Amino acid sequence: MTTAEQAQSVIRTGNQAAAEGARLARVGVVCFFPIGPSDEVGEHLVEMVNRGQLDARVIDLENERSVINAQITATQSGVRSTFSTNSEGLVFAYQPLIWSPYARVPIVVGVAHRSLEPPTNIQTDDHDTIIFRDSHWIQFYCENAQEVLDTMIQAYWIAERHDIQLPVFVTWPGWEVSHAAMPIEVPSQEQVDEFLPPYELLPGRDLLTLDMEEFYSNASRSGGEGASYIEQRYAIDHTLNVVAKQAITEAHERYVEVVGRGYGGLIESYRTEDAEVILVGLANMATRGRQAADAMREQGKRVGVIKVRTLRPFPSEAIAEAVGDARVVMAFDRNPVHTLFHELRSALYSHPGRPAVLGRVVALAGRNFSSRDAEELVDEAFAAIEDPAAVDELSWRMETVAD
Amino acid sequence: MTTVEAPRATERRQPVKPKPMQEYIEVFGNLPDEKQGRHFRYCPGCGLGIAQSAIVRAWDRIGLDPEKVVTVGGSGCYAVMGSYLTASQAHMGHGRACAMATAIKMSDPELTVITLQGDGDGMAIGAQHFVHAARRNIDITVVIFNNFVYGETGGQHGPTTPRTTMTQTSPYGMVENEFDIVNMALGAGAGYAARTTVFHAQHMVRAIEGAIRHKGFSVVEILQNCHELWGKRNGMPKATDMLAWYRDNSVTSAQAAKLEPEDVLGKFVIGTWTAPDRPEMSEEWQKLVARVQAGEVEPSKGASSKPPALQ
Ligand SMILES: Cc1ncc(C[n+]2csc(CCOP(=O)(O)OP(=O)(O)O)c2C)c(N)n1
Ligand code: SF4
Ligand SMILES: [Mg+2]
Repeated sequence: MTTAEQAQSVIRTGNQAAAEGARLARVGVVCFFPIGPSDEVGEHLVEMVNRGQLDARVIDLENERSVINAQITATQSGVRSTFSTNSEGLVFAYQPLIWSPYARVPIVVGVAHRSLEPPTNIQTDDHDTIIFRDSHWIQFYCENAQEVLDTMIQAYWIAERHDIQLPVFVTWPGWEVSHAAMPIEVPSQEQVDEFLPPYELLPGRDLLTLDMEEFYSNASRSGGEGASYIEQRYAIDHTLNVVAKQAITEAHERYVEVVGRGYGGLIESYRTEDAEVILVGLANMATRGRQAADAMREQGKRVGVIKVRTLRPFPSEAIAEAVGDARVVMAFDRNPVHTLFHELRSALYSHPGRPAVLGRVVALAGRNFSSRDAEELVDEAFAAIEDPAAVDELSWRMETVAD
Repeated sequence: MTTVEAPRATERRQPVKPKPMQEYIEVFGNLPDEKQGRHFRYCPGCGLGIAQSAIVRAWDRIGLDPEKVVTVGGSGCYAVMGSYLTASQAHMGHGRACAMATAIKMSDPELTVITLQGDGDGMAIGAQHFVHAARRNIDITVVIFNNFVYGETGGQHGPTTPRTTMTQTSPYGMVENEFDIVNMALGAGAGYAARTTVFHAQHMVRAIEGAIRHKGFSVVEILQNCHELWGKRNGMPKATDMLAWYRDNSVTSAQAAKLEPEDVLGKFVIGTWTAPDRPEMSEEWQKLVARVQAGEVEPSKGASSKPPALQ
């Protein structure tokens, strides 16, 4: 029996898939603090530990800030760990979350998105991790349970590479993905072991054996191996925007080789080759885009879609290549700060034949965003080809048409 | 430091009014039209309903003007309570109530400021604010609804989950020790701390009344039934099971004082504990500001100034 044959087809929610991913990555520490809709990931993992399916310690502390500190420490002492949270939890843990990239601690944090408060809500949009855009975290946005599982495993490989050593968010929409069950393929442990080696600390970085005086005076305070603050920041920025881009692509290719499934690497393009209008979205905003593209193509309108898998590093080059000669690029931004719109504008500023870039804020706090809504927005994009001045560059979609 | 008070006989004879609800609870008839038909979000039989009525009965006994009361809340099943009451309500992230309440009291010392907090909200993510508010002895009342779990998120264990009991995340029994909220409050500087249960409804009213009347930081821990999430996992699936459990397993502080320590183990000791008065923060600041403005005190001149005599 080949290892691929041991892979299993099962029905799983996005949260369960995240837990399966962490289990297959053989995490040694499961961290926990509850917040809906993310807390189930930890609960599934605790169950796996209790049933003897996962050899890990559970660390369950009094708030997310304590938990992330514990995760950082576990990782610094050579143990792979997992934790999932979102929104208020991320905001509460801001201090250690910002610490981790700049201390080069490769933690992986799962996020079933939830809109930020106030007002109090448990709905979903991307804002909770978008606010970490400017902190050198690698950020993956997943569209469905299968992608969550596969990305979780790749995230450890990328984060822990000795030439990366940066933390990674693996995110997926709350409820729509976290609690929606779908058939997924779970790779066998052998496949995952072949892809993902055991976690190995950078030589000299073991918190437990390190000369603590040396560690605090050098690594932590003045910047490691005698480097100064600016050099350190440069190294981190270069690692994120150059080295990590290559690593993410490589991780993807290797995963396809071993497991046989992939999502295009940094971006996943759909019918973009001859497209006049290209829709760009994270996670399941791309699903809506593809539905709209198919419907519009039936009317003879050439529409394509780019799913951006990593907001950081932002795949500017890959996007520019996929955009090609398109006339209009429209972002479906599921956040109130229209990040994708601005990212696309800077990415395409020097693109030959510079397309018009439009931004549409959609589906905030779980507001319905049907494929019919997406089609109406595509109509606006085509109108911009005729007369750019007639169409708002940036607008918010609040009303909705039923599918 | 700690004194133990038995409930006073005169108080016991004085029955609480049956219906102070009209004035203090929005859902009983005096709602604006658009809110009519709204109902409590608690599960049927949840102890939060009993606790809520005890709170407004205490307000009624004191004769508080709802205009002069502010409740401060966080996140949890209990967090909707503030919106059912006619008093003003302030609300922020999970666990932040004591910090907000401190600011409200400092900005208007005339207000009666009461935090409504879950055991998770107050003792886990918000514990830091709780101990510092106690240390400052700011004149606010903290009401903690202790249902032993993070209820709203599905019944996971927290820092008040009794050791060995079952929760969503401790299916083999809680391994860690729990906080003693009353002792923690007194240790941190509270002048008044009470423990009561939703079974002891009249005691609960008096405990809350005493806390609000107390000048300084006061705490009331209300042991509340969450039969839905905690009770069901611990052999008490109905609200009445848990009420009976509180009835059968509680002793008053006066009774406890007469028992051998091992006989008190595993019992809920209900009662009120007070500590000698300490300066209250909002008042101390007001006094200081008045003295500085009157030119009665000079700021420290650095190294040359003499250390103040400790009082
Ligand atoms: C920073 C942050 N982390 C997590 C949550 C999720 N959360 C909402 S309510 C709650 C626990 C509430 O427990 P408790 O205070 O005991 O109130 P109960 O629901 O039991 O009444 C948690 C963890 C949150 N809102 N904010
Ligand atoms: S879950 Fe428990 S605490 Fe929350 S409303 Fe229901 S019974 Fe009350
Ligand atoms: Mg609680």
